Amino acid sequence: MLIRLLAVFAVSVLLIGCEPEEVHLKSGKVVKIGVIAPFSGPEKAWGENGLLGIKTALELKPYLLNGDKPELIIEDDKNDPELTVKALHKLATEDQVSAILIFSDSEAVLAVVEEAEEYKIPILALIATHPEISGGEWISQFSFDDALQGTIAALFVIDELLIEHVGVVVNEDNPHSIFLIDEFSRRFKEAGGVIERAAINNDTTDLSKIVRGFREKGVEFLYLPLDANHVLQIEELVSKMGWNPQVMVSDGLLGRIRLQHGEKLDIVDGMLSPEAYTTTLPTTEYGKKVISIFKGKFNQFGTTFSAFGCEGTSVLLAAIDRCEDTSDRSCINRMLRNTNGFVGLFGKLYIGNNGKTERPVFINMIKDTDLKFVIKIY
Amino acid sequence: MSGCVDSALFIYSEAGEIYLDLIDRNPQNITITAVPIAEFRLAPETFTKRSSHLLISAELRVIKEVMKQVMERNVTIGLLPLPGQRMLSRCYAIPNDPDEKLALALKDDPDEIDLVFCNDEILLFKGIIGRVPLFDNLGDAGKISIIWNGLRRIFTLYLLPFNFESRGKINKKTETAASGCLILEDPEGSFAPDMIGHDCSIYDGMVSALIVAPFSVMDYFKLMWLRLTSNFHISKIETSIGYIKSPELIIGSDKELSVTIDGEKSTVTPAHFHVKPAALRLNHGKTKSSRQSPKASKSEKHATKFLPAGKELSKAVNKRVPFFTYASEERFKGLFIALRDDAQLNATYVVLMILSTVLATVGLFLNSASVVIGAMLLAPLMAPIISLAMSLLRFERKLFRQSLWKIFVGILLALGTALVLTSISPYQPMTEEMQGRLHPTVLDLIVAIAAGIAGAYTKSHREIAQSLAGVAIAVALVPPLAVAGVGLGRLDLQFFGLAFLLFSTNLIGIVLAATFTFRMLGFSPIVRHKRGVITITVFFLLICIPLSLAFKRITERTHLENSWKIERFIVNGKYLIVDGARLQEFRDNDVLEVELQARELLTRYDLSEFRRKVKQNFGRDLIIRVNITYIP
Repeated sequence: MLIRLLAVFAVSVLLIGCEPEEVHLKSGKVVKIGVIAPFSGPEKAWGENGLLGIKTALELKPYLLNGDKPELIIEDDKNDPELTVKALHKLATEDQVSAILIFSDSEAVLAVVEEAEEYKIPILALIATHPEISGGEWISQFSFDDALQGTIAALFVIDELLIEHVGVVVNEDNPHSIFLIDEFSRRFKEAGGVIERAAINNDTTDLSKIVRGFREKGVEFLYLPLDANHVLQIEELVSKMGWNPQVMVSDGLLGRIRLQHGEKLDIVDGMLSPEAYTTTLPTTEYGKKVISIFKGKFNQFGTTFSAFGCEGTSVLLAAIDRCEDTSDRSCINRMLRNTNGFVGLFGKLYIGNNGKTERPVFINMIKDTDLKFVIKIY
Repeated sequence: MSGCVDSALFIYSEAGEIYLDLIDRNPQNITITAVPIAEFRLAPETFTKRSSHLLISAELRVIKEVMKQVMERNVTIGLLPLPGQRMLSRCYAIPNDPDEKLALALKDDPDEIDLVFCNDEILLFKGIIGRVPLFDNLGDAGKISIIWNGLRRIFTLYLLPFNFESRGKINKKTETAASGCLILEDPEGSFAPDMIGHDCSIYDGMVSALIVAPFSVMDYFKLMWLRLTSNFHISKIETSIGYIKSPELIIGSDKELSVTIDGEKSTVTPAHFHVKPAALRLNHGKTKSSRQSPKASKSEKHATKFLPAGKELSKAVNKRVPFFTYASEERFKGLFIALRDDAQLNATYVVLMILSTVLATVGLFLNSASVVIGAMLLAPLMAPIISLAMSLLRFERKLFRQSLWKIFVGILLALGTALVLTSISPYQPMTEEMQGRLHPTVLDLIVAIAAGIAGAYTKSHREIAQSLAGVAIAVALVPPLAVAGVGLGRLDLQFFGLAFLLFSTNLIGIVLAATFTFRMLGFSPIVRHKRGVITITVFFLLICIPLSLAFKRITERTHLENSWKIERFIVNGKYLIVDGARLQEFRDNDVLEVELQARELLTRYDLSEFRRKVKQNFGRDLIIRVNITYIP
C-alpha cells in the first residue's frame, strides 16, 4: 500500500512539474503582417537575415490564441526611403495588413512617420534607432534609441574606462551618425571629457589625415558611429601606424560586417560595441527555444538582425493576441505600446506609451566573430 | 651411472609409446625393460620383483592405477609425462626436455610423498565439489581473464548445502552452505595455495579443503578484488571462505554432488577423503630445500566460523546469492552489543547533551566557531542515531524504541537548555554562526548522507572508531538544535522552524545513509524487513521537498548576486556602477543591499528611478537598500 502511495505521489509530482504545451485551435482565418526590409541592394543581407528571425518567431508561435494564422506580406524597399513609403502605402491600403515590421534604417523609417499617422497603422521599427521615429502615435521603436546609445557610450568611456580624451568621427551624410556624435559629445563634455571631432561624408575615401591628427593630439579612445566601410578603413590605418587605441562603434556593426564584409571580420576584433544582444550570456527559456528552432531550421548564423526580427515579431504577436479583433489596428497599436515585461532573449523588455522600448543595453567586445559580453546597462 | 638406479621397468600405455625410442637410446646405459600396461596389469607383483624402480608414461588414470598397486611397497617411481600432462609436469617439477625427464625419472633419489584418497580413488593435485569461482584458475591467470570469468559466474552463484566432518585430533562436524569446495593436495601453480599461505603439501599427512561461500555478490566482488590484487590470505578474509585441514575428511550434502578429481568427474558425495602419509616413493624435480622445510604445518585446522550457520542456512541454502550480504546477530555480536549500549539512555548522555548545548549556545551568541566545534565534539547524539539506523535495517523494535527515545530526550534537552539560556540572557544577538544554520538546503542533506555513511562505516570498523569525531563535526547535530532553542527563547517560530529543519535534515540524512551503509556492509537481517527502510525513505523524500526549494532559492540568490557584479544603471543621465549586491531575508521579504558607485550626486528622484528599474528588470518584490560611494 505504502509503495502504491509513493508511486502515486511520484507521478503527481511529475505531472505538476510538466508545464502543459500551448494548444492552438485553428480558426482558418489569417492575420496579415507586413514586412518592409531591404531584400535587394547593398543592404539586402539585413533583410534576409532579419526575415529568418521573423520566421523563427512564427515557427515558435504558428497560430494566435484565437486560432488565426499570421501571414507575412513582404515588401522590398532596398533601404531607400522613397521605396519604403511606397511599400507602406501598398501594405496599408491594398494588402490591408494589421501591422507592419520595418527592417530599414532610421532614414527610411523617418520617411514614413507621416504616412503611418495618415494610415493609422501600427509599425514596429526593428533596427532604426533615431529618437524621432517614435515621435508620432503609430511607430514604435524596438531598439534602444540613439540618445540612450550616445549617453551610454559617453558615460561608459568616462566613468567606467576613466578615459577623458576621445576622438570622434562623424559622417555628415548620415543622420544616425550625426545624432550619436552630438549626444556622445554633449554627455562626454558635460562629464568633463575632451573631444577631438573629425567630419567625413559618404564620399570620403582618405581618412589617414584624420587618424594621424588624432594620434598627434594624444587621443586615447576612438568613437566611430560610422558605416562598416569607414570603420574598416580607419582600423586598417590605425593598425598600419602601429597605434592601438580602444575603439567603440555603433550598434549592429558586427552584424553588418558579418553579412557584408565577412572576409574582414578579424579587423574589428577587440572593438567595443553597444548592442541589444550578446553572445556570451545565458539566454532565457524563450531564448533557448528560439536558438534551437533557428539552428534546426536555418543553416545560417544568427545576427542582431535575426534577433530583432524574432523578438519583434513575438512582441507584435503578443500584442495582437491581446486584441479581440486581430485586424483592429488601433487596439494592436495600443497593446504594442503597452508591452509590459515581455521576456525576450536576454531578459524583460517594455514598450511604453511613447513608443520607446526600454531594454538593457550590452556593451560587448567583438572577439572571434562573437559579441563577448562586458557589462549590462539598464 | 652414479646417482641412478641400476635397472628399471618402463610401464607405458599406447600414448606412452612415444618414449620407446628414448628408452632404447638410454643415455644413462641403465637396463630398462619396457612393459606395456596391459602386460603389467596381469602380474604386477612379478614385475615389481624384477625391478624396484618403475618408469611410467601413461594417462593420469593409468598412473594412479599403477601407484595404487605399488604403494607401500619398496618400489620407487619415475614419471615421464605425456605431452598434454602439464599439470603433472608442473606439480612434480618435471623438466620438458626428454633427456632431462629420463635422467630425473632414473635418479636413485626418491622422495616419500603422501597419497590422498577420495572414495578410494587417488587425488594427486586437487578435487572440486560444486563451484569454486576465482579459485579454480591458475595463479598466473591474466587480470582480464579473472574479471571475465568472475563476472560470468555472478549470475550462476548458488549456495549448496554442505556438511564437513573432520576426523583426527580435531573431530568436528560443520553444517553450512557453500558455493563449492576445493580439496588441495599439490595444486602447484594454482592460485588457491597462495590463499592459504601454501599450508598444504605432499608431506604434511593432511587433506586440505578450502570452502568457498560468498554470502553476497558484494562479498564475491571483494574476493575478486583481492584475487586481482593478489592480496589474498585467509587471515584477511572474514567472510566467504572456510578452511579445514585434517587427516580424514568426509564431505557430504543433502544433494548428490559430483566430485571432480584432478579434472575428471570421478565420484559423488558423500566424499570420504583420507591421506596415507609417505605412501609413495617418487622421483620429482622439487628442490631439496622445499622438501626439507616445507611451509605447510602438520597441525590440523577447522576454520569454518565465518561460513553460514544456524538461522543463516535457511536463507542461504539452494538460493541464488543475494546482492547484499545478510547476517545473523551471532556473526557481529560485539557490534550489536555496542549498538544496544548506545541506545540506552543514561546519566552520561544527559550530562553530555546539556553541556554540549550550553557550549553550542554560548558559542553561537559569541559567534565563536571554535566553541561551536567544541560542542559538536562533545555532542553524544551520533551514537543513538546510528543505533536507530541499524534498528530500522533489522527491524528490531526494542532497539528502535530505545534509540528513538534517546534521540527524542536529547532533542528536548537541547531545545530546553538553549531556550532557558536565551531567556535568561540579556544579550541575544543574531550572529553569523546562527544565520548560517537557518538556510538548510539539499547540500546539507548531502553532507548528512556522507556523514551517515561515514558514521556507519566507522561504527562497524573498530580500528577507525576515532574518526567518528570528524563525522560528528561534519554533520553538527547539536548546534542546529541550539539555534532552534534560541529561536524558541526569542519566541520566533520561523527561526526555530528553519534551524529545526536543518537538524531534521541531518537526522534523516544520517539515518538513511547509515541504514543503507549497514546493508551494504552486510548487516541485513536474515529475514529482511522492508518496512523500516521504506519508512525512512518516505521521510527522506518528504524532507527533500523543502530542502530542494531552499536550494533553488539559494541558487537563484547566488545567481542574482553574481549577476549584479556586472550590472550598470543609467538613471536620469547618471551612470551608476554596481560594486556588489547581497540578497537577504527580513521578515518574509527579500532585501537587496546594493553597493553603488556614482560620480554625480544622486537625488531622491534618481534613487526612485533606480528602484523602478531594479523592480522592473528583476521581477521580484524587493526591498532595496543602497550604499552609495561617490568617486571623484
